[in-house]
Amino acid sequence: MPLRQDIKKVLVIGSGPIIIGQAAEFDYAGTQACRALKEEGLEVVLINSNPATIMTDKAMADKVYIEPLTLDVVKRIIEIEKPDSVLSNLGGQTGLTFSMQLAKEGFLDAHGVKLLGSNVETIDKAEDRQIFKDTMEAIGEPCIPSKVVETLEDGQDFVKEIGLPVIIRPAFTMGGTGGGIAYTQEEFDEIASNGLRLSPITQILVEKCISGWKEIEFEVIRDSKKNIITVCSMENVDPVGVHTGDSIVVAPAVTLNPEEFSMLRKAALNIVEELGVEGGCNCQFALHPTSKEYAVIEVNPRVSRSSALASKATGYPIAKVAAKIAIGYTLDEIVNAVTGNTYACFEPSVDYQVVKFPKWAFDKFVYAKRTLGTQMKATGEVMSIGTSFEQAMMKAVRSVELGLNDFNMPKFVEMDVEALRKKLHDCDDERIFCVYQALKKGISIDEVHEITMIDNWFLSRLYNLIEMEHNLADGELTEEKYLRAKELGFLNKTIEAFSGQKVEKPRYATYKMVDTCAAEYKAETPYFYSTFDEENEAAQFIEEHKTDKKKILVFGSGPIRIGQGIEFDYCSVHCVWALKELGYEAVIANNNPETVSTDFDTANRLYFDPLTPEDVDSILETEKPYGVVVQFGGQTAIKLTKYLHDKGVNILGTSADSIDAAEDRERFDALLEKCGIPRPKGETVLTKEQAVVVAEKLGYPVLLRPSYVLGGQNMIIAYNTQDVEEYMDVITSHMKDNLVLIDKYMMGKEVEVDAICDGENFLIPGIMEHIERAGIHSGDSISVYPAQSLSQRIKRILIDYTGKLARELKVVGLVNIQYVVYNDDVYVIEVNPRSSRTIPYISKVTGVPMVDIATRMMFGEKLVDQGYGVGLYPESDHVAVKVPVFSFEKLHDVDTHLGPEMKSTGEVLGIAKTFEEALYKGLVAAGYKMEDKAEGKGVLISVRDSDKQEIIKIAEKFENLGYDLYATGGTASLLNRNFVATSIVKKIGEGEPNIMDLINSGKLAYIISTSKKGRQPQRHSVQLRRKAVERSIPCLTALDTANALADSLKMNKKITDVELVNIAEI
Amino acid sequence: MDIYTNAQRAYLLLEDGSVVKGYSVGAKHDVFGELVFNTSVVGFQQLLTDPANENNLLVDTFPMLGNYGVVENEDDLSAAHARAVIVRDWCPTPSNYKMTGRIDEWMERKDIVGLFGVDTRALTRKLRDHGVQKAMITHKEITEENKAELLEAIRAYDCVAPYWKEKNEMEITPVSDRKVVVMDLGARADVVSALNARGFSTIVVPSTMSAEEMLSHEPEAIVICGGYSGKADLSKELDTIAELQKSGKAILGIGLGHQLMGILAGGKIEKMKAGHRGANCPVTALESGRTFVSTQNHGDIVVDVDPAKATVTHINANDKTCEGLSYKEFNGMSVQFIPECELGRRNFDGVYEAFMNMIEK
Repeated sequence: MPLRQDIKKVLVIGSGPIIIGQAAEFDYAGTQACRALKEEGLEVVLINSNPATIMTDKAMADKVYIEPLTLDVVKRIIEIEKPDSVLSNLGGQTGLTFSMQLAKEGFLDAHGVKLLGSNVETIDKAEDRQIFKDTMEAIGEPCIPSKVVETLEDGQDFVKEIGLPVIIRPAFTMGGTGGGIAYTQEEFDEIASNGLRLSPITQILVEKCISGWKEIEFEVIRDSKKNIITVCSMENVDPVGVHTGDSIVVAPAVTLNPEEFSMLRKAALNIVEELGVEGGCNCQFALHPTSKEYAVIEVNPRVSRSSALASKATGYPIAKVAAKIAIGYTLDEIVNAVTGNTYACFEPSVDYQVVKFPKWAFDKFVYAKRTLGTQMKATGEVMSIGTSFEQAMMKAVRSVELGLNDFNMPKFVEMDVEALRKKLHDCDDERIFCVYQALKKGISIDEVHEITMIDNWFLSRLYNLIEMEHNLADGELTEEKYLRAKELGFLNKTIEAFSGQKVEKPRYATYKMVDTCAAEYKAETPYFYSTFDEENEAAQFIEEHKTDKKKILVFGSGPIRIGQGIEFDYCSVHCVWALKELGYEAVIANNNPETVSTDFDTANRLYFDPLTPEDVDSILETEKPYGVVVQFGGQTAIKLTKYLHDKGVNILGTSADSIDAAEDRERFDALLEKCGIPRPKGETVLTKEQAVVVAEKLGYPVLLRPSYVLGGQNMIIAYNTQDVEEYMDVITSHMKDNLVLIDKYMMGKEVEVDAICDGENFLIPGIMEHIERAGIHSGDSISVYPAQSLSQRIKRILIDYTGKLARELKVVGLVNIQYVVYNDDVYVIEVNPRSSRTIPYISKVTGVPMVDIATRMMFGEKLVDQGYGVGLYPESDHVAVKVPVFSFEKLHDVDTHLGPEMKSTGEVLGIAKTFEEALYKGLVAAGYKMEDKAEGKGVLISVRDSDKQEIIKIAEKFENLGYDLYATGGTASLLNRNFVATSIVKKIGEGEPNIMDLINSGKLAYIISTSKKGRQPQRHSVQLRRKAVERSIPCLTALDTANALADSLKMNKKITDVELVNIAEI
Repeated sequence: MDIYTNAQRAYLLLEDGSVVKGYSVGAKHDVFGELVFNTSVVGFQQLLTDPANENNLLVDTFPMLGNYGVVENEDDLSAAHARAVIVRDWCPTPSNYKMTGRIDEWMERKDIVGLFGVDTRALTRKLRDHGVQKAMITHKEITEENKAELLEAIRAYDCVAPYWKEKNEMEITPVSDRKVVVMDLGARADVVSALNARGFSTIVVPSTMSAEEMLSHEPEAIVICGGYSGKADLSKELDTIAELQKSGKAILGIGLGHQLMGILAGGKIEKMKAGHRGANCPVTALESGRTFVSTQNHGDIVVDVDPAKATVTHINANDKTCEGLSYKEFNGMSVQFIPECELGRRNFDGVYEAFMNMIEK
């Protein structure tokens, strides 16, 4: 069936801010969907609160609402825009849930809106636990057997039925207290009786324990004509027990025999057919490693992280096809965009191995519990493609940016066999490195398998890498040996290190195409990965598609992590678009499967590979580009600058020398001095002793950070000698010989400026002001555009300084500068001559296409010719407030206290005519519960001494709003002395009921908690804040945020009253 | 274990004169055949023992062979096998609970020659663009001196005679009183087990048996199944099938059976450039309009059947070639692809289900 004639205007619901578990993959899917709809001439209305996405770009939809994703807002948009349809299955769980609620309430029917994608029945069958179980049972697909029981005897009977081991989960105990795995009858009796006792309703769930089974996924697509295919199989290297988002995953599945493969493929088709899915669907299975027994773990009738991975792994654009299906097309009508002459109704065949490797943020969250389990913890991932598993794994470990070129992680290299054997039992983010070292030090594959349950196949393949290490160390480095090592994924410098010999004739990689069909059909996809064969398909492709256009290589930003998020992908993609428009051939190199930049039709050519110098070298050799762009790919791309410059590569835009001048402390200081721009005083130290001396000289508080700093990594504010000492101990134990920077910490107003420069002139699209004072990482601050509280004088200084710095650094392209306004003086904190986190939102709000203009500057165009003027761009009549979003509930033991180290994973935007309304919308979008009634609700205050004077006024605001105030001893008496009525609560350890009981009581609406020290999970203040996360109570850790919240509450706004803004009209 | 350690050099020489270097695995003797590629990712043991591959030097596009090992005497589809397999990499440390051994040892026992360490994608692209061609694998180094001679030998090489032509004995699998005769033109084991699973005893008969004798077993239906025929004279088989078609029994043709039935319906056989070989081939059932994914392994197709005698029921969704026929003059159907044989699960091609209906009719 072709396009349905009753569809003209479609509402697409996005997935909102990036949080752990719901990330950039939905920008990729949403963007593809919007494009697929627009291609058909449909009018697209989009709602998504996430301003950092490509999806919320004006170019993607006719109407773009960057508004809080709440049911009320979605309803209002439907009322305003009157779409005839809403797309349910391309906006992650958020999109699916909203569609479902709207349909069930009858709202869609009442407004004549059709539900496209998954229908209500399908969603119910997949999402409702009981209906799902019943459905699976009805079609003979086994689920994990489980039963709710209320007596030990019933539990014992059930165990007899399903066999041991079993998992016992007591009902309504926090964090699974009282549960566990029973391997024997005795253990079961003990854990079950204990669980029953602990459960307030004397109830436990007994579930068959399947941890250690193989975890297999299939991506399925089905259309209205009931055509159905599987796109890709995937196998988790880490067996059941580790969330698939935290697992190393390979595609296709490699350890299944044909019978197992066919059984699970059929099961997936069977399930999707039964659910009646029209679109994409993900099916996860657990497969017993030594029998044909299997169980359905989960089914997601929507696009997902796995579907993004499957799309990139095969070249089959699942989201695009799903969108086309939603509007009426069938698989046999949709042309396979990769081959151009076959149809979407076939199963991709791959002739390579794909590895997905997760990226975790534990480098930032030093005290977080690293154990992996059923709760996903990774913030991002990389994908790699190789002609072997080994090659793909080696590429993955380079792409994920751990500072490693192979699997020898220093901390495990140093361990002895016994320590490794013990450590193998810890299932954490570094386990693969432990496994590698254990194998290397002689622990057998069988034993490693016994402990980890990782399939022997994967282990023996890892062992191949170890063998190659030995082989390299043994005897002459022949050409054949060298080539074998290259095929296994070793870098030249790794080969040299292991062999102790110089690589005489280094080889460049050649490229193979990802074409969905294992070369069966001639494909037109410019999507390549590297290997070491004779034939170079990329070179052939370039030859066959010869143009006289200059080729420009753009480096992407790699895996999404805290501090380097989706914003950089936005910039990379916009750069590519601008290049194409300017008449260049744009080539992109990146390794993140979740993003738009790695969609094969974004750039003229895509290289899916690691971004290390050697990997990049081969791309340069094949492409021979006119120039390269490093300023849009975050630190990942910037890191390459020096290498590229030394090689003589033409770096477009700001020069390598300028980038160095901004990064090198001494050069930067000299530059500031020359410009007459002040910065907070500071010095560089190497040892703990030096640090203490310098800190005392500067005067506390001081800011400490390692000199290589990325996104505030390992940055702290120290208030005393003890803090400095603790910090230096941590730093020197992690990294030896690392310089540490100590700066005077100025607690002033933080201001941020992004500017575009052409080498002479500069344009500042907007000045942003942070709600929180300096000291909280800019990525974690609430940021307001245009700045609300700056005097004309300060603004003039900011403009002047920005111009001076840009000119002096000879910036061509983008520059981001952070200032602090302290005692009415302006100081520079940091200058980054590259794109920044704030580019997407400022571009959208001001209407200045920043990346596009910056790209033009690189080719010698002048700002004055762009039509946006120079200097400060006129302020928008809308105020935009960017509010950070965190994923604390996913990361146990992480202190939620904000500081100089970034902790947020995503952001939302509130846009309105006034600051107050914009802030309100931003807070709502970020998930703050904006209580409309204060009666009976409380605010708990527990602040450090230095905040005590200031808290009085804020507390008073909450009191005036009608909240009951609670505080611990010192704070309470201070507030009471100042006539702010406050109840005293006992601290932890002062007996019960105490502060924890208060939090549990459900009386609290907000918590304000600041402490001098944090981080370590055993500290009471940290426990308090973690408790707040557990109970989902907004916890404010900066007085400025608390103050802003109180002001916003005072406005007494309702989400149903605020004006909804279509940014396409700004 | 590094498969390259002590591996013996081996070479692939194509009819067009190009040489591909690799290493030897499995049986170690020179071998001639037709070089074809297959894009299946799993099922190498079945693929290598698919009688349709009897004359083939098989290029496996998936880079890893033997990951899950082999199951001796159980997973083979027939006694016949591919002449050789060409891969990038094979696995000396397979892992699967069901396996009984390694691929290299199995290939030695089966006398299947292997060549590894090859850029199979480059080879596949060549075959795709220039068509399948004859080739040989040799373990002697190919030099300028011996190349001409070897190329001469490739050109002179015709093809192997299909093993089923030599068969004389019947294979009976008793299941019930209901019987199906399977005319063996290189029948796959999965076809036989599919019929058994559906409650039918099978009598696999040699192709040389007369129609009369086949019918004397009182089957309820007949399956004509096979893959490779080489240059064999098939006139007797065609006569037999024509006879069978007059019997009034339900007839299902698969693969070569489909092609012969197509010829009897006025059609011709045409050789494709690269063939349909893989587990991902889309087939559209014209009546329902539904497209499903099938496994295929063939290089020839039926064209130009007489519409008065047969109707095209299935086409390949990509190149629109004929994938299935139903017949007007007798109770029969035939398919070019390999039907899904599982019982108790939804089979999306519906071939056996349709065949069962034909029998009941």
